[in-house]
Amino acid sequence: MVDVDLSQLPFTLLDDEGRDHIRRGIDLAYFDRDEIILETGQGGEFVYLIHKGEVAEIDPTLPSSTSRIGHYTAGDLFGAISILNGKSRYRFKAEQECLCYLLPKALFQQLCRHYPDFSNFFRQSLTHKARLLTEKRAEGGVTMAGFMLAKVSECMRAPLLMAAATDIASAVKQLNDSYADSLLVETQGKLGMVTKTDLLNGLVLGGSAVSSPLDELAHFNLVTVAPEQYLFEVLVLMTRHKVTRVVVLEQNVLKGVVELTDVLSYFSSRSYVVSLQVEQASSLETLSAASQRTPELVKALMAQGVKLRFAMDLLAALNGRIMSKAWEFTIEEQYRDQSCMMVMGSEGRGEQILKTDQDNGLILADDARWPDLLSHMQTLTDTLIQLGYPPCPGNIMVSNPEWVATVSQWKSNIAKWASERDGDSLMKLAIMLDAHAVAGNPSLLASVREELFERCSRDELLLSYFARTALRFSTPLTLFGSLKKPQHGIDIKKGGIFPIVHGVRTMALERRIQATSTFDRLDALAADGRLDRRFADDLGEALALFSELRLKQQLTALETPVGAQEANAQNSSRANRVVVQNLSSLERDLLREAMHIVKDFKQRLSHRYHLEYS
Amino acid sequence: MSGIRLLDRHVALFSGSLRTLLRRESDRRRCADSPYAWLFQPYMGEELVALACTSTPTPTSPVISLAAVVLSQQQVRTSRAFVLTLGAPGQADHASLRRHHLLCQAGCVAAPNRDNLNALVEFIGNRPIVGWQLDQRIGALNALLRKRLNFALPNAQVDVEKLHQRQLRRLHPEIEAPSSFAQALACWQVPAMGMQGVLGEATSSALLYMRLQRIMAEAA
Repeated sequence: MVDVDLSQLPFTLLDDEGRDHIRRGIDLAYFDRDEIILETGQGGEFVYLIHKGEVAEIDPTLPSSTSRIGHYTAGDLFGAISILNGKSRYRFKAEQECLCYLLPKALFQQLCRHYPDFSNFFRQSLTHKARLLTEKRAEGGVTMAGFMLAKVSECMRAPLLMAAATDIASAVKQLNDSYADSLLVETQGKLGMVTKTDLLNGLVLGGSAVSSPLDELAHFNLVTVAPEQYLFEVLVLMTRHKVTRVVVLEQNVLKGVVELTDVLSYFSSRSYVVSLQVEQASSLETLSAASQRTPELVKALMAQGVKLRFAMDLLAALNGRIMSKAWEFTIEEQYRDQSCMMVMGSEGRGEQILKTDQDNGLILADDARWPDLLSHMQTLTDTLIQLGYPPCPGNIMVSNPEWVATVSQWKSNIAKWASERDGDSLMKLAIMLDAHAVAGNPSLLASVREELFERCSRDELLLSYFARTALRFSTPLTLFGSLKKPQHGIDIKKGGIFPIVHGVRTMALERRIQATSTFDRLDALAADGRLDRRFADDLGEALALFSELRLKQQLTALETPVGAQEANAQNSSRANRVVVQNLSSLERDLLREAMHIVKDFKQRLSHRYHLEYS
Repeated sequence: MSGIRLLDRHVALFSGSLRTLLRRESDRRRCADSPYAWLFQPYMGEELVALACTSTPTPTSPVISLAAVVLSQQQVRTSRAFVLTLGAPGQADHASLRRHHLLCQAGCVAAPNRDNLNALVEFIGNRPIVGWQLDQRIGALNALLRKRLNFALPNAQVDVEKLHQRQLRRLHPEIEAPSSFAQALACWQVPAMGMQGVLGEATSSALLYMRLQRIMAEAA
């Protein structure tokens, strides 16, 4: 009987008897460096459990730069899938001298028969791996899920184009004949849309005659898309612009129309249902009900394998709509134009998928008159809490008078922070940089932001102080470049997300980039030439990976029954921790690569902003 | 097979003293007509047997724990290991039996009779034996075998300690080599496989042997 550590998955799925069987039945094998352990197409005879050394999984059909698809180290298992499939799909090669335990095929199959859990473990990781692989291979990094690959061109209808001078009666007849409920008219080279509702309103309320021409009912401000855009983007556009039809144009030539019902037939997800509920909400209760459904929507999107970036976009659009609805419910019409509500922090960057906290502030016009400002703002904050946005622990909320100010007060605040440069001021500058207007008059925020860029973007000393924070937390990599594996997990927010977000924010400040989302900033920086395109893409991918891992943790935390409040507080810090040991080896590999990108980025930052000696 | 390994095997065969050589020859003649004759045939295969032995002398007969593992070029067949403690359960010194059981983790205790000794020599066959400090360790076993079966183990023997010393001297002629088994394993970065038990020791010495073989093949 050999002394082998069987306290890891999948062996924990066996009972003591099964583990004893393994101990009695395994052999040891020694492989030299670069020796091929299992060749492509070779029948699997053993399951290999690595005791010492490293093994690479290689797809020999791919070019050598991308052929390494897996990496196994001490404690990992491979070869099981080759046995289940009958032959190995890939080549396994020892990267170092390896000592492996060999579990013979017959014993493995016997164990699979006796312990269904054990056998399921391997089948699961097979499908899991296959999914990850296809995702990796899909062009442009888009997931293979049919949901995401649907293009506008697959779903659009032929347009019903009519002359502008056509009278309403014949238009209705035409609509009925072609079973459509909207048509397009063209006048002076401009396209306009007439829907059935427009016809009805025009006839009943607008007092148009049956014989009057169509173009007086048409809307000419249309939302347009290109046929090769993803259908998902159409959904985002519809949510954002509150429309149910978009026009498909290819190089200014009319191609078709996409209607909401068409999109919905493609997506059986609840995304539009939720956004429809938000739009239709006429009271706080209904709005709150819609708002409570967003976690469910996130889960559905994640289950369908939607790319995180699109999910973030959609959620940001939805959250924005919810906020501005709440604003409309609580703030009277007369004040709306002389103030601007902004969201900041992760919400401002559009990266808050689940509602973790509310960071918001208010900008007033200089000549604003608002007698009950404080009580109104308290109501607004309470309303948002009611809608499911937990209060901000740092008290960055409109109910805090510090975060409510006129344009000139904000400007002087910014000047003060920029000259003080202590930790608190730098944090406030960072928060302001991510500000994004959700309701009210957005031009107020634009002028404050202009001041911010004016003050800070040329101040090298300030930029250097500002960038230094990005280096505050160490990257969880060992001296030899592998992941650290502490028992309680690595903090992915400090180690991965924060350095990327803050570093990119600093560069955006320097280059005066208006976008607030990290992905958009990266795109802008690449377009600007500040970062090379490949590196910017890598950073974006790394950030998406970190956010996805974090989101998974948050979602599982949501699923556990809600206990006491203090348990919740613990959950939020635990959600940032990823226990490396629990990841599959492919995920572990991805995480390690991503951490290396972060490390590289930090080095570039310290080089650019001269942080070597700070 | 490289020349150096071929040489190793034959050196191992003649590495004993003249006395052991003569003893082996007389054993062979005596057993020529017995069922054990095949054990004296030269071995032509690729496999070896790693053997670890621990013995405690007692007034009556020594308690011997032993483990034998077959190894080939690449694999150590731990699944087909031979592990046994020899000692008369009734009369022998109980304390030393228990100590063996705890320290060596060597399976069941059996009285040293013809049957289980038979099984042991059949398991080893005429394959060469590999082990750490083999000469000293198998002395008690050989004495027992000679008493019961009329011959000592006739196999070619490879003492891993000597290989280790020789290799160290080749690399660092001026250094006094460390001589404990654990030090030797650490020196060649061979993982210790459960060092307490005899099976662990046999496995580790097999791994050490494989490792040293590769190093020598590289050097040649």
